[in-house]
Amino acid sequence: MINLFVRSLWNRRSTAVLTIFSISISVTLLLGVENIRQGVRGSFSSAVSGTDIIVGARGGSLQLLLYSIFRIGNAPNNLSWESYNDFLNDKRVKWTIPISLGDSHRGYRVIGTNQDYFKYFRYGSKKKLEFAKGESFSKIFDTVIGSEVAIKFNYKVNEKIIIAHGTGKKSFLKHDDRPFKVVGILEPTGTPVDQSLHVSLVGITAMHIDWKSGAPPMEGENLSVEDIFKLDLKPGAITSFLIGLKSKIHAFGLQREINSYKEEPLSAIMPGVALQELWTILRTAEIGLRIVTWFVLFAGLLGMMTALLSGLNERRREMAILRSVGAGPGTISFLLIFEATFLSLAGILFGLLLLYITLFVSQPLLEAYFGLFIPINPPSFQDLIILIVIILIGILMGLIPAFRAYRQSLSDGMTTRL
Amino acid sequence: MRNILIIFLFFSLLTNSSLAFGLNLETKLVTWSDLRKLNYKTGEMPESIRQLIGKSIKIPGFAVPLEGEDGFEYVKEFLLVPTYGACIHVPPPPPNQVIHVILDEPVYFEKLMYAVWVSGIVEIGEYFLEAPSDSGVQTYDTETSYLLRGQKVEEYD
Repeated sequence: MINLFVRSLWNRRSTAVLTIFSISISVTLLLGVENIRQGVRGSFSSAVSGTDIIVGARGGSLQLLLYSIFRIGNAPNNLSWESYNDFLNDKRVKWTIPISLGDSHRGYRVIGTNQDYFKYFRYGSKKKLEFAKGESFSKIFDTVIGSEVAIKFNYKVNEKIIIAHGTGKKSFLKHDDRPFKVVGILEPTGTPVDQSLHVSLVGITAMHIDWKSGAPPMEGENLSVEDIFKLDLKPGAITSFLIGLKSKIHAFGLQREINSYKEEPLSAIMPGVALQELWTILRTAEIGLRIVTWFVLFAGLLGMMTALLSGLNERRREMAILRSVGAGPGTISFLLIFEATFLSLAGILFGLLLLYITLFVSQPLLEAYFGLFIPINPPSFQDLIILIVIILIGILMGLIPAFRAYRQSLSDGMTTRL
Repeated sequence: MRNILIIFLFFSLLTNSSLAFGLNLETKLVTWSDLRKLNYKTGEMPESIRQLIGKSIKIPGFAVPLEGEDGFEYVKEFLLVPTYGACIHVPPPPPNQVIHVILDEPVYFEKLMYAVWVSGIVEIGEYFLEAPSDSGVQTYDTETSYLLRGQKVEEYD
């Protein structure tokens, strides 16, 4: 009977292949959306760890989280060095990491910070930043670059680079009179650190030393690098800072104190809380996307049923011949259900193949262009349940043509007229 | 040079709690007003609170995530507080109204978005805070607070 089934299907191979293809595309879409969802969440949530409070100028909590950790968007304002020092010396604070933003290098953000960044910054599950090559910055015009920056522009240690004013990919105002030297390259982390260039806070001040009017100094008026070294440079302001506490219990107390700080309007957030806010927003979009993919799948399976039903008319002769050689109506309907099951199963297998090929091809691209790391995992338990549900719906779709074939083959009998 | 040198010591009063670990079978239901009886400034506590140390308790509350396993998809450490969201009309909850929970097994973050029951072993610890001072004399502050070695998180209904 299997032989019979295979040959019958082979006879209608173009319809069968198209049906399998439409099911497999919906399977790929369904599982792919799930994978990307997890990847997006993973890249967001592994970017920060061990930080209890993030402080920036007064603004929304999500905005602060996005610019200070993910380098997305811009800060509304800087905060003064004095305010930073006030909280740096608070007795509840174990460590702080200052962050100064606003400049970039060929589309990658430049971060002004200090040695504490390499000492205390954690990502993923409390992982520390490691140097792949070189060491941390020690001079004014030293920079430590993330792994992605190093790979993209093929930068080596000791190379000189020029930092641009502003955060666009192209910039017409450059700090080209003061090149920076690459002194270290960090190990890949899968976080926005890979896409950043780190310089000292003094380095940020030094780049802008004679930009008082908001534009670069006129020709002949600019200070030479030698002059800058002679100056006593102090950072006047930073963009935000991260705090690690001695006891997490004090998170609420300190957060409130920072939010109601009298000297300057500041915002303090707890990264976990801000991330949950982000999840709540993303969830609505995720649910929408999931509903759409289920509908696509449903359309694919409906297409299979249509193909089977319309095939019934063409296959009256085939059915009649089958009956004449002794196949009961039950056998015929079983044949149709079997065909539906086979088609959905083949669709799923082909869909999985398509999914993994797409993932393997797109993974490096997504990482390079969007900084999004999509992990390639074997189907999860949840995926398997989804697949089983698809097969069950497929069988259900096969029942309707099967029932019709059962009734037709009884009434038609062998009296089919040509 | 940093003018503060901070020593952080967390002396959990584990001596009796580790002994009791595994022995106690009964989980006591505790309310937030019970917990207020701990004086977090002096570390004094009535007998009813002292008896809780090392015991398994169960308390309802809202979780504020601190640390996740592999990011924040699964939460391993959180602060448990009696009220949801930050009410900015009154000062934030004092240290005796916040429990630092460290779970044995991380839970999916969505489970913590609503009210939960948390059960675990209570520890009461002291934090030594060394304050900086301009005169060079260092002053110390001690604060006492709750830590819960969480074993189970359930939905509150």
